[in-house]
Amino acid sequence: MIEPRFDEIVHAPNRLRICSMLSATDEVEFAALRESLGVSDSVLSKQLKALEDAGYVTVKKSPMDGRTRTWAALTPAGKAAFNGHVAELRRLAAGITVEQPVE
Amino acid sequence: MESQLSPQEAQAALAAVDESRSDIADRLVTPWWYHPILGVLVGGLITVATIGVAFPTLIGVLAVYAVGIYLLMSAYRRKTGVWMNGFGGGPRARRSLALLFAVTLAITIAGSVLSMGLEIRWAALLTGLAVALTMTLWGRHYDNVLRAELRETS
Repeated sequence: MIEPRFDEIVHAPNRLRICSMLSATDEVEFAALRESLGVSDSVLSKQLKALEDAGYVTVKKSPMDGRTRTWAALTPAGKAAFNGHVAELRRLAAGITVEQPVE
Repeated sequence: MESQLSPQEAQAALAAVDESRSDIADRLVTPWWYHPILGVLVGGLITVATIGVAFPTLIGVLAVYAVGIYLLMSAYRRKTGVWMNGFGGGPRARRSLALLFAVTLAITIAGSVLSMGLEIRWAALLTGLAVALTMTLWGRHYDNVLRAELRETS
């Protein structure tokens, strides 16, 4: 059972999208994240740094084709925070369907 | 931590989550050569194992298999920019993979009995071929299940 828990670090729009993509996979390359988000390298780096500092994401570099590629992955703490945040969003969103009592 | 989000804002955030998952599903398009090569690697290994070769030869084949798998996975990662191990999908994808494993194991056991037990040596080649074909065809089905599950709502 996932406990709904709002997480300020995850909730920022770009970070929420980064966590969504990472939660669905094991690792995503920096360029793939940048293309999906439609942001610059510096914006993505800043968002990843914030998630890394919170212990939610690991960033590692691996050489491929003679050049270094950067890969990001969610940590167990990141997965827990993201799942809790999504559960909280669901709980909050459910309120939209509650009908107001007729007086 | 309490949030001040309205239900509409929460729904918009959930929609962004779903959209991102859909984006990543679009990226998980397996190159056409991936499953056939994986099938040949696994099928080749099973052929050698069921034919009953000497242990040092088997170790050598295992080493070639390991290098082949590493190169194949590296090529996949380079091409797609995404990596997901086989057990990282949703429940339907995991069931599909478990079923593939069971079918491959059944083919291998049957092949071993024929090749090593009854000494029908050509059965080993047929076993490897059957495994390679099964993995190639099943791999495409598995990809479809995986992508469909990723696109489903968060």
